Amino acid sequence: MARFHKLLRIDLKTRKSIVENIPARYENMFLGGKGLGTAYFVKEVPKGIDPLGPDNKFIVATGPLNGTTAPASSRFEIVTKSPLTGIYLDCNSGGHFGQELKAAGFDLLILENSSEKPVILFVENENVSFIDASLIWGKQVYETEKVVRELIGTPDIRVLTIGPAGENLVKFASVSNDFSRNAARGGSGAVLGSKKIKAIAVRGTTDIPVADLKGFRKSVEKAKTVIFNNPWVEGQRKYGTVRSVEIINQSGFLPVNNFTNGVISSADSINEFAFEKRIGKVLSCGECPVACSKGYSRNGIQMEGPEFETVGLFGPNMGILDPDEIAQFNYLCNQYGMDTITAGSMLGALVETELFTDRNEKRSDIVKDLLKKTALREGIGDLLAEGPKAVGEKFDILYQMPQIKGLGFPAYDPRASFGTSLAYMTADRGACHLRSWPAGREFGGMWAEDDIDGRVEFVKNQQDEKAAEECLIVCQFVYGIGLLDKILGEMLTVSTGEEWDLAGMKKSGERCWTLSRMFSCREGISRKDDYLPEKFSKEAITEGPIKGSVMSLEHQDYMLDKYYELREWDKNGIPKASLIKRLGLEEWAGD
Amino acid sequence: MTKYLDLNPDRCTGCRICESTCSITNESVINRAKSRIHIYRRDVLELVQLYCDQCDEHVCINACPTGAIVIINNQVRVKRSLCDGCGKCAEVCNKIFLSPVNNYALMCNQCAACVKTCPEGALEIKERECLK
Repeated sequence: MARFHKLLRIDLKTRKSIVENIPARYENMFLGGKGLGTAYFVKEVPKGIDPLGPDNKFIVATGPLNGTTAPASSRFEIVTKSPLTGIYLDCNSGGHFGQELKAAGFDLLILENSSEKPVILFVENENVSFIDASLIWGKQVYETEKVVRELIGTPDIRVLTIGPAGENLVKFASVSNDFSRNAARGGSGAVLGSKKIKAIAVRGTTDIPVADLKGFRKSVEKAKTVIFNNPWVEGQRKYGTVRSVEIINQSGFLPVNNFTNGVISSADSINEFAFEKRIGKVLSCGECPVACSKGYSRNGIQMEGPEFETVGLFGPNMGILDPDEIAQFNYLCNQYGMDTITAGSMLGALVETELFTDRNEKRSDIVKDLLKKTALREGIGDLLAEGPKAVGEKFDILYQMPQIKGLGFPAYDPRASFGTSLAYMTADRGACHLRSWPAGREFGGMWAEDDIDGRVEFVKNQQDEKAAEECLIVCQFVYGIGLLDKILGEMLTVSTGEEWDLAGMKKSGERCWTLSRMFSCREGISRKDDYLPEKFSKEAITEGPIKGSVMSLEHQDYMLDKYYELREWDKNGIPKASLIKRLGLEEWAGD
Repeated sequence: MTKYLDLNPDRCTGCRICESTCSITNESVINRAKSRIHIYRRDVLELVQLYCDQCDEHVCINACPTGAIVIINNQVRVKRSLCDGCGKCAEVCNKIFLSPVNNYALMCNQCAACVKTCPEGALEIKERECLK
């Protein structure tokens, strides 16, 4: 219950699809969503394949709470091999695509091989059809969704699309749904582009099975109470994520001038009040009572967003404090289908190079020009499309290029705290703020100043908990940033009829972390890849309340030692055989 | 008096909690395709909300070949026992929906379940003078 115990596998070359049963053992081990997607992915994708070749797989996973009435349960998870990092990638998005896919009657969608011609996939319950996409190949994201809607001709579909960046195999191309909601990190859009999939439309009309509907409705009501009692939710509901601009600036770890200053003198022009004036429509993901999406509308530009990360990286980090310019960068990324975080943090590092200094135009015009060139791989854009690591090597600025494992930094300066640094260093897909975010607790004084061990333990535990949330799959904002309240276990138990508690869910999260690391180690990842860029250990934040903060190599090493020990990885960061055995993952450990 | 559901589009965020509530209340399952209210996405920031608002055009009554759509106590209703799911009503009015499995017509019955669960307070049941 709450599951269909089935997956839909589509061979894009032969255009054949089959429905397979998902073994109960897998469900017990991996819970759903990220876990099940990772289990199939690591099992089926051989070592060393080209992420942009037919051997890569593109897995879309829903979880047991998707499609139900659990609050904020409409997200979907993508698992694939990243063309940007060459390692494990999972990314997810809100919107309504996830719950529609679940209602089609299966828990996983596995796309394998590649189509020869551009196509739109239409999944209507278990029926799969292919629609010629040659006429919309090259179109931007919004128009693509509109045309797909017209072609299919029914309003009750949800559509996943890629833009020109995905088609052009830009290595940080995103996948979009509901026009401007993106699963953006790590280049899953390029994987779809390489498979010649312009869009996936879904229509699901199946009953979502729930073991005890009455009991489930009661626990949903409890969950709503938990959510609205979370003090953080109120601001989220009112302003969305941009309210973090002011908070992070006051705390002193906003990215400013390519992660140099930490603060700007005034955030008035880009804070929540500035963007509040520009809200055209408040929107919500499926089943979400919070509605944090504050849709921007001005000068003919519309989008859900901009979110905090985009504002931080395209704003202060590039020395640009005009909200409408920032929105335009966001809009271009949305329309071309590119990750604003990787694009923003990479371009921030280029402001001091000849790409900017040799030109006389306004900086914001250069940014727009470079974004366009990147998406279309024109001129210098062909290099930029390869992502921050390749660009850092070419311009000899790897020292300060804000990336780990090839994935660009989000909009928090990691030198702010031990936990933030470790979270970036160890995140499975490369530098990421969504796997663990201990900064709030660190600034709140949860640990003594010298208690590094406590922070390391917290990061490890929170990573497991957040992975469990992404197995379910629910929005981590709404449930309180990684705090797996017992209500999630209750909703899961009542809806599935399976016994789940916090410990069981966390163990599934731990399996995610072990399997993803096993995959990435197979691709060459080890301790050497788990460090911050050199600048962050050598140069301190130059201004603001935490001026002087730096993350020394000694501290990084100390944290990695402790972290590996907790994870049962060896000194080189490789999962130990004892761990693999304890978690029952031996069958995934081949070659 | 005739009761009807009314939605304030400025408040609606498109979370579709009304849809799932409707299917649970009236069909005893979670299935948004069996809801009597539908929220579609039309554009980047544009939603479309469709539900029977008890208009007095009565095109559905006129279109129904089996006499399944009737006025009872000043309210337009679908008599499920008479509905064979032909879909003629849904052809003439986009505020009536067909059940995807059993193919019967789904029309808002002003049960008000969605009014109670809408987190935005966008829905309410109103009354107006009787239908013609």
